Amino acid sequence: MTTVEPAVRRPLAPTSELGAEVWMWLTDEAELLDRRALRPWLDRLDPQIRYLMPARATVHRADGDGTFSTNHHFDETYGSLTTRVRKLAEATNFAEDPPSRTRRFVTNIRVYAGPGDDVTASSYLLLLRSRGDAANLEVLSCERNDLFRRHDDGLKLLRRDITLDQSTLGLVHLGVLL
Amino acid sequence: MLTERRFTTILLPDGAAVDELVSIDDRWVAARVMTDPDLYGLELARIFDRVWVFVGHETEIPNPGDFVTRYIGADPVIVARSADGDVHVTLNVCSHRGATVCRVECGNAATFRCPYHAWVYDNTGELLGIFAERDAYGDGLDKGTLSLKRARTTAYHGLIFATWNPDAPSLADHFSTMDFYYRIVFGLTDGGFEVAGPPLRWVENTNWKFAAENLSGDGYHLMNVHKFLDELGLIPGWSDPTMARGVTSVYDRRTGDGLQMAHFFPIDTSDLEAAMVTSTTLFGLTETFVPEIMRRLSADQLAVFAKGISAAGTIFPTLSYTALPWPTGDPAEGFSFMRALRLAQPLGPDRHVVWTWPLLARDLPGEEKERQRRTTLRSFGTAGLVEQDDAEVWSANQRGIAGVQGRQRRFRYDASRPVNPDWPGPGVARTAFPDEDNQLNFWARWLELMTA
Repeated sequence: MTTVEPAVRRPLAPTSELGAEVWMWLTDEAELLDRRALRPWLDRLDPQIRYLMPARATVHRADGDGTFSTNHHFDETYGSLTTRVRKLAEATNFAEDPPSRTRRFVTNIRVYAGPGDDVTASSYLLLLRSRGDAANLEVLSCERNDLFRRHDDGLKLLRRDITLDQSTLGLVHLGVLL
Repeated sequence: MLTERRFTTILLPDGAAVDELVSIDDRWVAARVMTDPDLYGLELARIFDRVWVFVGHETEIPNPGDFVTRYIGADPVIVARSADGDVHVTLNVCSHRGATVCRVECGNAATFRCPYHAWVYDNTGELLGIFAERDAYGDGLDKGTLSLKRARTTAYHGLIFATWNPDAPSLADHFSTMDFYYRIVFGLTDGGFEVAGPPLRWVENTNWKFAAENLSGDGYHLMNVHKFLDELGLIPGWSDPTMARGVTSVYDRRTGDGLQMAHFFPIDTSDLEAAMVTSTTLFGLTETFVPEIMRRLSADQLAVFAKGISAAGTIFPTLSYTALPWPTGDPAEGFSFMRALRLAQPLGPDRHVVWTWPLLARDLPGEEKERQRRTTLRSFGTAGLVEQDDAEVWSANQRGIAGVQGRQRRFRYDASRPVNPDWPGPGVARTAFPDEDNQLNFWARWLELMTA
């Protein structure tokens, strides 16, 4: 995992060229996912991507933050994400057909140059999901630590580590991507 | 065979009799069993307080002092390994004012200190100390009578079960019929199985029994609810009903347990040793496990195993499991194996919390272990491609029966097949297109506990 130490590393200014590029990348991504433009979303992934959301548990302060790398809600590759996209777009999918109405709020974006020619970013994501005729919104909040690699046609996501804030997820199922 | 029995009549506040909510002879269950808050309260007292309940896996607490916190029904418990290596399950409720003395979900501790008045218990439940005891209580209290309430605790093929019921049969007696199968699923290797890590947990908006009874024997839904497996080429032929004709369903009338074994990839067993290599590989293990499996299983167990099985079932009331050859979900990674524990932890009449652990053979090579872990969580975890569709369909069930008319409907369990007289294992076995006998047996056990 590419760990960002906020106290040590200074994020790029959002107005810098690279800072603005990543800021746009993340907000564009939220729009693609909310509009279910999933093939274009896949095109923004590096073929070597690892996409991870570890299990959380409530532990005492001395025992760390309760993130466990031994079990995951998501542990995905480009191939398995493609299968997810195909299920969402083409196949029988009771979970997401009819689709949820989702709104992904991406905030607190911090962009760092490096390591090497790669680019690192952290962001907060608030996913609101409306299903059926239920008036309540399902909520998922998380932090994402992303590693981007420069390709000829722009930055591609090479690694995403998602830190979920809930130890017990409140969504009825996680049939959408984060 | 299932037979109709009469039990003590327990009336719900509106005058309905609990023993009239299920008819085994006529093969129906009143929808109300999934919605009624009074029935839910009765379940906590009559089922969860009286039967063996799964609370964790031994490999979650490998070292002295390790603990996890769990629930028996709605009661919080601590599952801890003491210094002598024994596993103890204690009510996580201080004997003084009832606070949970442990407020985290896992860790390592020799003692637990209540957050309210600092009474201290060891991890076997013994009350070690009372804060300012002399000041508060003069000559003190009899600490020996004030330990955390202790549950009977037994580990079985690595699975830890606990019960508050002093009269419950021993776990060995309890599983004496189904051990034939559980040894195949959970106990066929010398090194045993381990959970991948802490459980994945999420809330499903459906009664716990929709999940538990489904996993005890609803092979019928698989071809429809999960037909994406066929459509995406992950398991070609999955949605073809002929694929399901080789399924054997087995239930145990005494415990309410049920499982289904499928021979999706039938193996010729005329040469047992050759068949064992194929069936062992198919069951998510490697050829090196064959000698120990042949040593650990009886001839009858081998007859079942060597044909090449997949297994899924429910240990009544709430622990389900799968052990199935399964696609990784990544075409480049191909096929692997899905072995999971899935607990349907009740959270009211219309909600339950799913707890899921990938279960891995300890002695598998690390790379294959990782593949199986990913395979399991991608299909059966929070974001599981299979699980998400089940969750949605069961939510639809719950929505459908929320009203006055809906809850008066009766669920039908008419699909039945003749008992298979040639089946080498114990329990009541049927080999055919999936029947609904296992699920009806789940309800027979439910009714017995609720009314007896």
